[in-house]
Amino acid sequence: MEKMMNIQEVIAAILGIIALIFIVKKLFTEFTRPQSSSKCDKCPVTKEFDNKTEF
Amino acid sequence: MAPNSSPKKEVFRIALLGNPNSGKTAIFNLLTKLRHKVSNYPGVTVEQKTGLIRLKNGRMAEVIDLPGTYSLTPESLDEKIVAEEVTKWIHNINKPDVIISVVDASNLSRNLYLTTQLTDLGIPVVMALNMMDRVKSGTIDHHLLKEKLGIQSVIPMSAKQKWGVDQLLEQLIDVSESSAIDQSFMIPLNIPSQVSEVLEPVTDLFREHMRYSPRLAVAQALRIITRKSALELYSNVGTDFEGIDPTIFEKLLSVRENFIQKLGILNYSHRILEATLRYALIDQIINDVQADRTKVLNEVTRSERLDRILTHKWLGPVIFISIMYLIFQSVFTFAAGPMDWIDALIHRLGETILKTMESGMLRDLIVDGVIGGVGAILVFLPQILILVFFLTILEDSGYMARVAFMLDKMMTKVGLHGRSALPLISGYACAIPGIMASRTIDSWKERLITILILPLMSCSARLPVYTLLIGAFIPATTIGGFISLQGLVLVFMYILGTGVAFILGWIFSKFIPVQGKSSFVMEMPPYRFPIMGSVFHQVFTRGKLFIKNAGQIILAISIVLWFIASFPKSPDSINGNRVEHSYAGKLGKLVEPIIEPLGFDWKIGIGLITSFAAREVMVSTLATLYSVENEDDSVVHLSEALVNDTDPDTGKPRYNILIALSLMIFYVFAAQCMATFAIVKVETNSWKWPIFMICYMSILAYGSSFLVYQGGRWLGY
Repeated sequence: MEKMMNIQEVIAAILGIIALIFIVKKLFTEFTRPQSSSKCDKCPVTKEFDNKTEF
Repeated sequence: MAPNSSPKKEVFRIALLGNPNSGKTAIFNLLTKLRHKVSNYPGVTVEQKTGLIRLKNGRMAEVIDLPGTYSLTPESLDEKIVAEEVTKWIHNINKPDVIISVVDASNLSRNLYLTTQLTDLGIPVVMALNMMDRVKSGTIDHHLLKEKLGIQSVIPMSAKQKWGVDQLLEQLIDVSESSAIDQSFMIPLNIPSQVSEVLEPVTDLFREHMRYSPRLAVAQALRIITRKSALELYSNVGTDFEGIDPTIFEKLLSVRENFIQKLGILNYSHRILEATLRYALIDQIINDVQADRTKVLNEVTRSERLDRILTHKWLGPVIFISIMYLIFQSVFTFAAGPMDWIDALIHRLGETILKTMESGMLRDLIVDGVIGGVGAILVFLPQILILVFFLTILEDSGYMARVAFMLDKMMTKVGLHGRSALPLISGYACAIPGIMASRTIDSWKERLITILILPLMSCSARLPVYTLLIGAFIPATTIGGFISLQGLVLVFMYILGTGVAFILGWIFSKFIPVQGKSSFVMEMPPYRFPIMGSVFHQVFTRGKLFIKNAGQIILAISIVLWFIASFPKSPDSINGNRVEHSYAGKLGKLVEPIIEPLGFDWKIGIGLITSFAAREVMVSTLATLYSVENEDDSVVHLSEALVNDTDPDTGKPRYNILIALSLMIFYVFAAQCMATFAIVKVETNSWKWPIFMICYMSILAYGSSFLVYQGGRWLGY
């Protein structure tokens, strides 16, 4: 029974896994989030920079 | 079916439009009870914001706050956002039921330009005659103004003093209950008959192919002739909007060229045609409604007198640098007490857990990883709040607009212009809103350069790194008895980042091709006492973000770091540093040869890797590493741990003032913020520029630190 993880180790391990998943998810969402339009957070991006208008 | 043509049960749409710095967002906040950022300089709002309210008649209303614009003819990206939105309204897409035209009463002439354009759209217009507190009472006949403009109502108000909002809401209820407005009357502009004749083919196209009202057809014809950017709003109109001739853009393009030629023969300039006609109308209206045009502004002379000193050729920059020095000095002085309190609180929490919880892995994780890592960051909260407080005061008072004006000449020399100044100054708080604020820059080239150099402005996330190292290694002495050396070093870090940003701006301007012409006309807002509610809200928002970051990504990194710094457990036979033999230690050792020439060891190497998430993670990383390394059951003071850390082989201090300077300079330039690169990717719509940014900043950081460390060693330090 010595090898069995005690309760502190189990909770610590769970916290570690959650933290790791959070970091990976954060990295993923930062760089794969849909490009939001400058018009609003939820609008799809327009070709603002493809169309470099002469004002 | 167009949204506005639906029954009245639907959400009533209210659009807020007005010149930059006319107080749209302040009115938006009053209407919706939301707390969006307001400030005293043009271009604070660069994206559309919406809020829901319930009117007193029970009807739900959606309030839309659009970026400020001087006219519906776009001159910059944020103005283009408004112009595109209005083009949709013209074609019954997302059309509002009423437009609130926000007008700065102290600058009626310039503000009415946009209002006269809005009246052509066939949408009811209610004017919020804002900033009436700056105008002598009785100088503007608002009843006559309503009549002259032919709009629904003119409501005198002051968003700053919070009066007039109830009347505005009542007027909105009236509009929500009334029927559609009459669109049959003609545009009130006095267009010469020869111009009207040559204008006809364009107006005919709008009327026949787009089914515009006669008034709107003339207004749009004038607009597309004035600027090509206004015509380009129609480039996709045939495909985006149903029932429109897909070839309309080509047709408009061809008649525009023809019209410009004919106008030239008649000795009219197409670029100022609409402005000339509208200002003739506005002058006429103002002469009728304004009692004494020359005495309307109460504060102009006061502001001008102040400007003579604050924007003086030589005195201005000296005052600016002195103000910045005082702010950074205050960051140290005023924050010292609250930082000690937070530090004491965190240590007490750690000690309580050590005393009350049974020893084990979870206790170590909480004390060394969570409290050690996150606590080390939270200590810097007072400094961040004080910095944001002073920067917001400068913005709200109108001083930052003067800084932009002063920097204009210097920026022109480096290939930018004064319009870049405000986004760059915003970067001192955080690069992300600064990058978004660059939308006010009309030229793509200048906007791109501003985006590329903006992360070099030392943001508040660097502050914990700077102040940790300054506090630990820079002596707390004064120069000349009153200038603090620590404060001076901090100011130097900010000046270094800013100076190099300008140099790089100049270099980039040589390589990035010109796309679009730039212009810089900046309105100087009058000096005013900051709205303290808004200032404290900004401070609160920044503080909340800092704590949120600490409670999320920094907490997660601290936990993971604790694991990799604690495992594998080193056998008892191994002497020395336990962390050195852990996975984290091995990772640090892997990068150590690369960073050794900069004076950095494996511990800093781990910090450099983890702080890619956010710069302040460097502090929490070092705190976690020292906490894990500490074999006693006690909470580690990071600053002391850094100073007392010795190399086991030589017995000498591991870190010294030279390494601290090298590390600070590395952080001035380093590309250590993933959120910044994500926003650059979004704003430039490509991977190319964020990757370029990471590369150039990393090379710059490495090279500068190398020079500082090796140069220092060569000099015998």
